[in-house]
Amino acid sequence: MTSLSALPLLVRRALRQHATASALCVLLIALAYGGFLAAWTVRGEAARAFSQSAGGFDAVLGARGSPLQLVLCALFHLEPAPGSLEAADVEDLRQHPAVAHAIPIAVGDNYRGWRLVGAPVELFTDVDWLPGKKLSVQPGGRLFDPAREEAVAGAFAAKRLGLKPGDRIQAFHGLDYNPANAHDEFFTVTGILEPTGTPADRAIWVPLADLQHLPGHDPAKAEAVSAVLVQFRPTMRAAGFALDRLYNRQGTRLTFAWPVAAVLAGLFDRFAWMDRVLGLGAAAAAALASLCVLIALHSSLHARRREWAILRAMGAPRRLLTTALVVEAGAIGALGAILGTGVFWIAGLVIAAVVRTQTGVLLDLAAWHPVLGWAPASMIALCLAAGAWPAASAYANPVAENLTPPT
Amino acid sequence: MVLLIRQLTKSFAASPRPVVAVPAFELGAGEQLALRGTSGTGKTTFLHLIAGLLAPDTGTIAIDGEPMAPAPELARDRLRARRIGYVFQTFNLLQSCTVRENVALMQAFAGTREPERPAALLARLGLGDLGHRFPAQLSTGQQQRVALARALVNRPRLVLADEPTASLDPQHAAEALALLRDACAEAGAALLVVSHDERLLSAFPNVRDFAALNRP
Repeated sequence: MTSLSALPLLVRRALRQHATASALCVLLIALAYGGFLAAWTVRGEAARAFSQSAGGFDAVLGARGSPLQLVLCALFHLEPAPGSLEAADVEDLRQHPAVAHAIPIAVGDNYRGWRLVGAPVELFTDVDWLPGKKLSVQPGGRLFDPAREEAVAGAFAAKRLGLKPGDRIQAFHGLDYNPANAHDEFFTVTGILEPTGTPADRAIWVPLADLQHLPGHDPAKAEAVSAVLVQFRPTMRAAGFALDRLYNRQGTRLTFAWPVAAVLAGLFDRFAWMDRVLGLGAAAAAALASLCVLIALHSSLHARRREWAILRAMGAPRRLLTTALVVEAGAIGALGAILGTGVFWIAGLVIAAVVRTQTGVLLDLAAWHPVLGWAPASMIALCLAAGAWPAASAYANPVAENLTPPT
Repeated sequence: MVLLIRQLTKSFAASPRPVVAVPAFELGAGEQLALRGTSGTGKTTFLHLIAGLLAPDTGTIAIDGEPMAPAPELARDRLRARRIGYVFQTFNLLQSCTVRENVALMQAFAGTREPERPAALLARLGLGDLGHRFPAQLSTGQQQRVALARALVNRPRLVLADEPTASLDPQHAAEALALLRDACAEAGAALLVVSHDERLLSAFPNVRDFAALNRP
């Protein structure tokens, strides 16, 4: 045995002896650390997940308006369409040599608050939402027949609504559910899509023509669509520049939202200040938590003087006791980080569930992020530093005069 | 000689004269000596100097041939842990550690490797089944024996005892003193006791007045 072998026992016993203060410090660190991790990783993961949730589309064409609104409407099923396009606009785009797929969609109706999206069957049969992957129907179902009033439901919407093949769903006018706005038409569910972790999971897909011709819609605009989802040929993505110029700079009637990732980045830029505030707040909380470690240890110095003196009288080197105090602070930081990881997971699961419900985007918080490496190391280092001052005081603790019990 | 002291002095800022001024003092291997002295005469300071808890102003102290003073603090710590057992008036057990840990920590500080010795020593002192308890869960007499076990665990060459029975009633004091003397004799350790208690002093065949030894 060596003096150093006594270190774990000294640290363990000190933590036990000052259990209440230590536990409060651990709890405080856990909350601050968990909040910091959640703020940091959710921000990064949300940006990544949203940019990868475009369903394989490079651009969206729509009525003149905000590109962000257009993308949120057409790809994330969140906003109303800024307007409509004529069928001729869709056809013009289809003829462009760089365009592999131009998928018109129509929105404006819902089933109990879940958006009905009119789309051609080519969306499922021709378009890869990921390289080599198409939107497919779960076993036991099939795609809708464009000639019949049928529907396929996204996996998340089906789960929430309890839909299964054979169910009949009624269309309601508008994007918000209002029982008074019911159409007379019903759609028969023919299949449930395999989950994709993209907003496609939140939509109920119906034949484009059926949605366009629902009674109550303006007959003059029966052939109009809400937006066109565009996928370029793999080697011709640079054509986006020409189309951007054509629609956005030379034209005045339409908006070409391209590239989708850049448009979405604009969304996150809007909230960048909030990210910074959250991040700074969490970092300040972590610093405050380590300050609490310092205060807790420093306030316990007086109570520890006699025990240190006894240990010194037993032959414990001065450095061992100061090291024990610093390690004790580090152990509090490590325990806080471990518990904080739990807090982060719980907060992350809640946030991910909310994002999933609201947007259909699946946040993968299990994915490795560098912050998961440097944050615990930083937290422990911060606590070790916090223990340095009390340790310096302990170093100067006189032995002989503290051996006598206080009277 | 287990303990050899020459020209030892120690003073404190609050006192104009040295508290301890011992020109010469020696203690042989296995010898048992009691120093008589009233309170405030510097007995405890004298033991602290021998144990290396305090550094003297002048003079030399050697324990079993190794210098305790002058010596760097780390060397004094090491020598204290390996060669000296210290029994305090108030036992000074670590309240946050179990009986076994109190004894085993002493081994850790000395760097000795006898994992079976704490349990064996505790059993020898009648504490075999109390190793897992904390000091506060023991009687005063039991605590005194734990302090003794801790002092002896590293097979010290010298045991220092500062009023070792002052916290005990007369019956337990006599038993504890006998145990202390027997255990030191059995371990071959020299014993230096300081006390003002005449009952304790009467148990020692060899008693010296600290006032005669200490000439500040």
